[in-house]
Amino acid sequence: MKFTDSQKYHVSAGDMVLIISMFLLICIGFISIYSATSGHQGTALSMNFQHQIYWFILGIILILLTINFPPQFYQALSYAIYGVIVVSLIAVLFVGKAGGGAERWLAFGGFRFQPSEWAKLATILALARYLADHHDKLRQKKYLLISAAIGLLPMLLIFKQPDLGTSLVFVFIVPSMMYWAGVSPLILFLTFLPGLTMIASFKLWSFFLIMGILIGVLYATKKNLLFSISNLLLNISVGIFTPFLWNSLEAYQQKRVLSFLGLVSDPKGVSYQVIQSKVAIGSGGVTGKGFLAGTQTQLRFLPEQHTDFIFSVIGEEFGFLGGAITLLLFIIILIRGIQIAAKIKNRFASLVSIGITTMLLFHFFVNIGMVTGIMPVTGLPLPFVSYGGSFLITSMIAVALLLNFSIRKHQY
Amino acid sequence: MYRRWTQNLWAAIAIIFYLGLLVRLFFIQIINGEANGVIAHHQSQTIVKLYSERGGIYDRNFNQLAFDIARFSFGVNPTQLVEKRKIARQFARVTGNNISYYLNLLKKKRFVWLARGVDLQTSKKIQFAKGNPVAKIKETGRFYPYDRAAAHILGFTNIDNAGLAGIEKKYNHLLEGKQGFKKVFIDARRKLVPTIGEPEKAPVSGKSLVLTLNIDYQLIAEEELRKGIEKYGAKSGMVVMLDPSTAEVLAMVSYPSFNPNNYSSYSRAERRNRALVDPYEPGSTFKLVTAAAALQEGIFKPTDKIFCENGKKMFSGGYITDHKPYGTLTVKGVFVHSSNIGVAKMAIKIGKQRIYNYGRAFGFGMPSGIDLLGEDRGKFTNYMKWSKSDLARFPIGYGVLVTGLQLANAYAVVANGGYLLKPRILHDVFSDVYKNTLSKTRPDTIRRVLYPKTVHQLKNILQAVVESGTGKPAGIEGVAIAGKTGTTKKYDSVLKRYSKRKYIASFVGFTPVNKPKLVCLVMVDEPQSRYKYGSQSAAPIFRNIIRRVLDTGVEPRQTRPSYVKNHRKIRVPDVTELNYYQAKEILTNLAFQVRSEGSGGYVVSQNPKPGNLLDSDEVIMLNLSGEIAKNTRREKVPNVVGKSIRDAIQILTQAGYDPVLSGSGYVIKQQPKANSRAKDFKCKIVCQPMSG
Repeated sequence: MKFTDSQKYHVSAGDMVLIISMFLLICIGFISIYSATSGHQGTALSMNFQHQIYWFILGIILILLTINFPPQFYQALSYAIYGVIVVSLIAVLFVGKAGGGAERWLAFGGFRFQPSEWAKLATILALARYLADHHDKLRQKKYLLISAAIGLLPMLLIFKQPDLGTSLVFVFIVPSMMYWAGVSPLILFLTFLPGLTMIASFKLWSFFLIMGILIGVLYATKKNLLFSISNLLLNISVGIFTPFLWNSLEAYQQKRVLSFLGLVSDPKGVSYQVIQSKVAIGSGGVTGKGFLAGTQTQLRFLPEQHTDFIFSVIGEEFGFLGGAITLLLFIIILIRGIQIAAKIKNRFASLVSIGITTMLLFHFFVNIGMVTGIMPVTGLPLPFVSYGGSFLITSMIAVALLLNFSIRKHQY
Repeated sequence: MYRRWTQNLWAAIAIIFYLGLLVRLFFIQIINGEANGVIAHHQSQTIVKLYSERGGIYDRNFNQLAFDIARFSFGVNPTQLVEKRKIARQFARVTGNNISYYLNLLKKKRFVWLARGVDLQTSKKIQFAKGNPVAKIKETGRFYPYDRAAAHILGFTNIDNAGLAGIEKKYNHLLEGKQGFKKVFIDARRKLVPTIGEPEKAPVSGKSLVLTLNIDYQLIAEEELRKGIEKYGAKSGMVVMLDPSTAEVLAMVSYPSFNPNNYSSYSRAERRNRALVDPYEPGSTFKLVTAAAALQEGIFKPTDKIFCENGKKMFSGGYITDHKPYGTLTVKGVFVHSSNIGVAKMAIKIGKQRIYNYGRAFGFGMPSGIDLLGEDRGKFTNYMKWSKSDLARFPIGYGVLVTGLQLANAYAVVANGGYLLKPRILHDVFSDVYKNTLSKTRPDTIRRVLYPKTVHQLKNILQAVVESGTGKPAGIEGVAIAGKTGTTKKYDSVLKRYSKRKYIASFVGFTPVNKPKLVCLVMVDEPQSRYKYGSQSAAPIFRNIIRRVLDTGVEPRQTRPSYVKNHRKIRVPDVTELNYYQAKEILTNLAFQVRSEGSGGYVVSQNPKPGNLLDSDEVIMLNLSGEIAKNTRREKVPNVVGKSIRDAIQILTQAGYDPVLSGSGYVIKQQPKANSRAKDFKCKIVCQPMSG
C-alpha cells in the first residue's frame, strides 16, 4: 500500500470556507478564554490563554502533518491507534482509582493528555475501517455486533471514568456511521435497543413503553416468531440485569447518571450553573456588553466559564450578534463536513468524514443547548472554542482529516 | 456510496439544531434580555456607603477639642486560628486584659472582636506572621485630645461616629456631613471588586464647630474644682464660667467627670453635666433677687436699717436662723453678712408678686435657652401658690431650685449692666479649616432686668461681700471682685426634713467689678461639715480659679484672629529610620503634607526637623534612601546638666540619644559632655536629689 502521493491537489473554495470558519471559531475561543480568565482576579487563571495558544500552534503543526498522508495511511493505522487508545483508557481507570475520583488524564513526563478526547477520533477511524472493509457483509449479525462492539468498548470505559457526556457521543456517532454505511434502520434499531432498554428500565413505565414499541416494530415488519421472541427476551433480560449493574456503581457515579437522566430533581450546583449561564447570556442583549466588560464573566459568576460554559462569555460580551455568528460558523463547518462525506468516493474516508461531522454536531448542539438551558448539564466542551488542549487538538486534526479527504475526493 | 437522501437527512438535522439554538438565543437574549440584564445587575453591583468626615470641634482660641482619627480593630474567626495562645498573649500584652480573657474569647465558634478602636501606635505593636487569619480593619474614630476636659459639654460618639451626648449630639446634624455612595462590583464570592473612578455621590464633610469655651480656663477650673473637692471631702461639684457681656460659656465643669475617649466605662452619674441638669437649692446666692427687687422698686435704700432679731425668728411655719446672731444691720449689711432673717423680713415687705417677678426676670424657673441638650428648668413656683412661709423661705434660697448655669447667668445680669442674655456654647460654624465661616452666633438679649442705678448699688453690695463680708475668702489682693456666698442644708427626701450634716456650699461672683469680664459660679456638694459654708469651700476654689485665669490673661478674646494664623501648631514627630509608608501615614494623620526626594524605602532625614512647631498642612520633606544611615541623624549632645530627670530624658530622646540613667532627682553629670558628638547613641546621665 502506498502511503504518500506526489499528485497536486486542488483546494476548493468550500475547503477554504471550512478552514477559515475553523480559525474564526478558534479566534473567538481565544478572545473568550482571555476574557474569562484574565481580569481582576489576576494571575491565577491567566495562564489558560497562553496554554491555549501553545496548543493551537501544536494543532497547526499536526494539521500540516495530517494533510500529507492519503486516506489509506489512516485506514492502515486505524486499528493500531484504536488499540493504543483502548489501552490508555484502561490505564486511566487504574490511575483514576489511585486518584480516588474521576480522573481523566494520563501524564507522560510533563505532558498530560485526555484519552477520552482521542478515543472519539480513534473509534471513528477504527469503525470506519471495519465498516468499509466489510461493507458487503453488514446484513450479517456477526459484523453488526462487532461494529457495535467497536463503539461500545471505549464508550463503556469512558462511562466508567465516569465521563457521561463523552460516552454519550459514541451513542450518537456509532449508529450514525453504521446508517451511513448502509445498515438498515430496523437492524440498527434492534441492535441498539438493549442500550435504550437499559436506560428505560430505571422506570417501570418507560421500560414497558420500550417493550411496547419493540413489539409494535416487530409486528409491523413481519419478522418471524423466533427472531421476535429472542429479541424480546434479550431486552427483558437487559431490563432485569440493569439493577444489578447499577448497584455495582459507586454512589457518586449513580448520582451523576441520575442527574444526567434528569431523575434527580436538582442536584446542587447544576441548576445554579444553568441559571447563571442564562443570566449571563441573556444580559448580553443584542450587541453584548463588550470585550472584558461582561459583569457576570468578569466577576466569575459562572464556574467552568472558560471550559464548558465558554459560550456564555460570548453571549454576554458580544450579545446575540456574537452568538449568532458563532452558530453560523458551526453550521458552515457541519454542512461542509456532510458535503465532503457525501462526495468522497473512498468508502473509509466518507465514513470518517460523517463520523467527524456527527461528533462535532453532537458537541455543538449539546454544549450550546446546555448553556442556554435546553439540554442537561453533561460537561461536553464546545469544539474549537472551549479551553482544553486535547479536545482542541483532536478537533483540529478532525478538520484536517476532512480537508485531507476533500482534496483527494476523486481517489478511491 | 453517495446517497443524496442520506446527505439531506444529515443536513436537515444540522439545520434544525442550528435553528433551534438560534431561536433559543433570540428568546433569552432579546425577548428576555432586559429581565436577565436586571438579574445580572442585581447580582454584580452594589452600593457602598462612603462615610463623610465628621467635623472637628474647637475652642474659642482654635484648640482642637475633638477630631476624627484612624483607629484599628482586630477580629478573627477562632476556628481558623491555630496559635491561639500566642495570639492571646500578644493581645494581653498590648491591651492589658489578661490572657484567660482572650483564651475564653477564642473558644467561640464565630467571629469575635479581639480589640476595637485601637489607636495607630498601639495597633503597630500587634503584628502577625503572614497568612494569619486575624483581620486588621481600619476605621475612623473620634478622638478627644484633652481627655476629660470639657467632656460633659463635648459629649461623645458611638462606634459609628454618631453623636450620643453633648455638642456631638446637639450639633450632630452639622458635624456629621452627608454620606456619599459609590456603585461597585461584587464578584461571585460576594467580595467587593476594587473599582476606580469618581463616586456617584461624593461624601460631604461635616462642618466644624468653634465653641465659646476657653480650654485653658476649662482646664484650670477642672483642676481647681477637683483639688477643692478632694480637700474638702465633698461628693461632687460644678463650675460655670461666663463672659457676662455676651453670655458665652467660657468653662463649664462637672465633677465627677469622665473621659469621652472611653465613655462606656463610666457611669451615668459621671457622664451627667451637673451644671445643666442637676438643679439645687441655691441658698443665700438667691438673695440677689430680693436685693434687686428692694433697690429697684425703691422699697429699701442700701442704708435703711433692719433689725435682725439676734439670729433667730419665728416666721409663720417655722424658725429662720442666721449663721451668726445680728442685731440691727443696714440693708447693705444684711446682704454683706447674709442675714436670712433680714432678707426674709425685707421680702415680706416687698411682697410675693414682686419677688416672683424679679426671680422670673432673672431667668429662674425656666430654661436659660443654652444650646445644649437636657437643660433643667429648675423650680420657682408661681407666687399665687406661695404660702406665707414660702415668702420667708424662697427669698433666702430654700424651696427654690436653680441650675448652676441659671445662677451664673443671673449674676451676669448684674455684671453686664442689667441685661439677661441667652447663654450659648456655639461660637461659629465653618466648613473647613481654611475656608469660610458659615455662620456666627450673636449675643441674644432676652430682656432688660435692671437699671444702671440698681446695677451700681448691687455691685457695691456684692463687692463689699468679698471685701468685708462672708465672701472674704474669695478675694484676691489687687483685684476687684464682687460675689455672694451660699450655704444650703440639703433636703433629705427620706426623712422629709433638712439634713443637719449635708450641705451645699457655693459662691458666685464676677470680676473686675467695673467692667466685668468673667462671671464664675462654684458649687460644692456635701463638703465635710467643717467646710460646710460657701465661704469655707466654694469661695477658696473660686479664688484659686480666678487667680490662675487672670494669670493666663483676664481678657477672654473678643475677636478671634484669622483661622490660619491662629491654628494650633503641631509638633513635628521624628519619622527618620521609619520606612516611607509608615512615615507618611504618621505625618498625614497629623495633617502634614509629605514630599520626598531620593530613592529607597527608608527616611534618612526630614525637614523641618523633629520637634519644630508647624501649622498643619505644611510640607515636610523626607529624604529617602535604600537603607538606614544611622549617623545622618546624629546631632550634638545637648546639655542636660541641672535639668530634672524627666526633662533630661525628653531632651536627649528628641536629639536622638538613648539616656542611660543612674541615680534619681536632677542631673549632675553627663557623659558624653554637651556639644560633643557621641560615638553611639547612648548618653549616660548621673542624677542626684536636690539638696535642701
